[in-house]
Amino acid sequence: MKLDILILVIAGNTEKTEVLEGSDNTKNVILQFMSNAKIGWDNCVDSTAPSVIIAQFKKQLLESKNRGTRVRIVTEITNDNLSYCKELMDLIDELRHLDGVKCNFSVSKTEYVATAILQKDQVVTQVIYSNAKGIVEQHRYLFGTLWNKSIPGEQKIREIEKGVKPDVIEIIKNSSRAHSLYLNIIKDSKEEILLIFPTSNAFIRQEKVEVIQSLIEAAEKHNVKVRILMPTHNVTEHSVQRLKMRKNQYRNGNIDIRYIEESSGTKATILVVDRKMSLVMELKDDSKTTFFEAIGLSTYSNSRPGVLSYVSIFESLWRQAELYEQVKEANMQLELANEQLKVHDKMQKEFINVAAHELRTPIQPILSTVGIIRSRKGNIKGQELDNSLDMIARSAERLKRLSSDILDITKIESHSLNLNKEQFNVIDVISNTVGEFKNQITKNNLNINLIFANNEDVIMVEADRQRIAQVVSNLLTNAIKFTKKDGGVVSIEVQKKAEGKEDGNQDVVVITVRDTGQGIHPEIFPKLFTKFATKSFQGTGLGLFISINIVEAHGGKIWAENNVTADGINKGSVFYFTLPIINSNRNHDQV
Amino acid sequence: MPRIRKDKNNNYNDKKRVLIVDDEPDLCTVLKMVLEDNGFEANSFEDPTLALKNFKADSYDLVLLDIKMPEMDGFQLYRKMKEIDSKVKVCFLTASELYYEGIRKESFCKEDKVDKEFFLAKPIENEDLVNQINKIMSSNIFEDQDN
Repeated sequence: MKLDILILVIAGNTEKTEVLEGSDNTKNVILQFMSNAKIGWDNCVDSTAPSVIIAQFKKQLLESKNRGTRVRIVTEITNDNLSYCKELMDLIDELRHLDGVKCNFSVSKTEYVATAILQKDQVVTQVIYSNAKGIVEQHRYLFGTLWNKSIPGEQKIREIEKGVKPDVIEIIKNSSRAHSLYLNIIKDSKEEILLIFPTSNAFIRQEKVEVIQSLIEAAEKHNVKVRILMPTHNVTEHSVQRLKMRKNQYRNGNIDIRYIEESSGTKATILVVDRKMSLVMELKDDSKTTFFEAIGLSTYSNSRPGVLSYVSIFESLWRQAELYEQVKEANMQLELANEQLKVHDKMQKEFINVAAHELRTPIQPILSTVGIIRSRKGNIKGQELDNSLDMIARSAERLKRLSSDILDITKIESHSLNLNKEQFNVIDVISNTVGEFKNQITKNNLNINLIFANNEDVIMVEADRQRIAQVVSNLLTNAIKFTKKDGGVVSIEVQKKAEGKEDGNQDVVVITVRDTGQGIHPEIFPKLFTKFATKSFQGTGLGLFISINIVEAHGGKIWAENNVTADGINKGSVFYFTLPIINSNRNHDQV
Repeated sequence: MPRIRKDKNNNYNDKKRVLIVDDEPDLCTVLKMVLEDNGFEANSFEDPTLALKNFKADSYDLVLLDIKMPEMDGFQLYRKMKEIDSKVKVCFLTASELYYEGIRKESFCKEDKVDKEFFLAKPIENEDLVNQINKIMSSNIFEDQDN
């Protein structure tokens, strides 16, 4: 009571400012300050202060409250002082939070106390006291400023308790700081990283400062799904392919890359992590070689609306890139189809050209011979007449063959080549065909020895008799055609053979046609069984195409080789074809 | 300089001589018959190489040339024959669609002035063939060209 009066007297008369040492002195000064402040007082304290206040002045605060004294505190509420702050909030009028507050002072309408040394739960050992009007007013102003910058304590407590980080949008001017933040955000990612590179140079620069390596680690070690949008360019292709390879190589590797246009107008690297944080690094100068020189201002944000906007921009571009790829793919397919059409068109033209030539040529002898006979008014006799009639017959025969070939091609290409299958002895069919050819050879005085070598009398097949005869006839026609110039031997051979057991132990007959003619031209060999494969100037090149289709329709095979004789000389060609046979022995067993 | 040649007897009434080159034997036979029946002297070769070997300057008034032939096609043969006899008239006779319709636009024709020559399409009626050949014989396109 005595002291109280003394101070009042002092206050009334003189201003004083002093430093007080010792726990008793300091406590007394503070208690006196509290009791003097009838209306109320304000405090700005660091994060250790709440524990000291509770430990030392809890009782006095409660009394002040009951008296109706208004006490306000600005402090930094942290995880460590959370419980003290909550307790304080019940004892005082209002508690607010300010990040990183470092000062410790209290100010009433007339007095000021401050301390520089505070330790958790400990008493205050040194205070500065002042009732100087200037000092008091200065600190009242300081308090007001800090108070206005602070946020309600309840809000901060809620954020801490719910683990919510406060919404922050920070502008970063220093590129080194942007870089370390960049790597840290990637390192802390848990689920998803979205990244847009504005230019291929940006990719290269950031690859040099470990960004790509960090992404790989996030994807492969923490199973973070990484998606990258970037312009495509030769200089980055190698790195991109390496990333894509890793994706296939590591099951956890989860980096996806799509391409955007370099000129899309994006002038910033945009990073979004876990849909919670974004870092946008503006591109200042793309010509610079280092990351630190190239980037300008950066903005970091964890504010939801902003971050989600970036996510939405990213997703739109991502889908657009996919559509672009699809369009490109579709275009490529169209081009391919177009090429195929062109090839088809070319083949059609070729066919028309060949067919036209082959159709028109035999008409000439018919037309001319008929014209001659008519103009001579029957004055044509003997050998000349016979020759003329032969010429007409030959030409008509050629036209007949050609027309049936063209018809066959049409059937094959429209998949309507029907087989009239029956069971017959293939030896008979070959024998008949060979007979016809022998007659022709004799008739045309060809220097060809046609030999039919068969070890068996009966080899039964189920096939289209006429079609098989057609194949034999085609092969013999070719053999004779390419042998007749210098003369030689054409032989046909029939053999039974057990095919691979995996094919259901199906036996086949192999029919071999061998000649000693000019052999198969190397240019023709690879496309021997395709349409128009001919070097001959007489013939359409349709025979072998028809033959392979007939043989394959019967489940057989056809192939050819050039004949090499014992002395290594290439002489003539050999054609083989097979047909499945009806195995008579097995049939008997089954019966 | 007169371009319409006379034979060695300097006789205009002598038979005109035609050389036929066609790889189809029947065509050679039948064309030869048609031309002979119509007052020409005709010779034929199935093998273009052989035809060239036997070709001498001033021996024919006209060469009737097939185009699609093995080893040496009609155009190659045409060039070689023109080297031997620059004045000989040539008439191409072809059954080929491409050759007949497209050939005049091909570079060959531009380079070698084949468009000054004649093209006939197979098959052709005897009468038409004879008329065309007579027309070609009496034309003097080379003199026109010189003027």
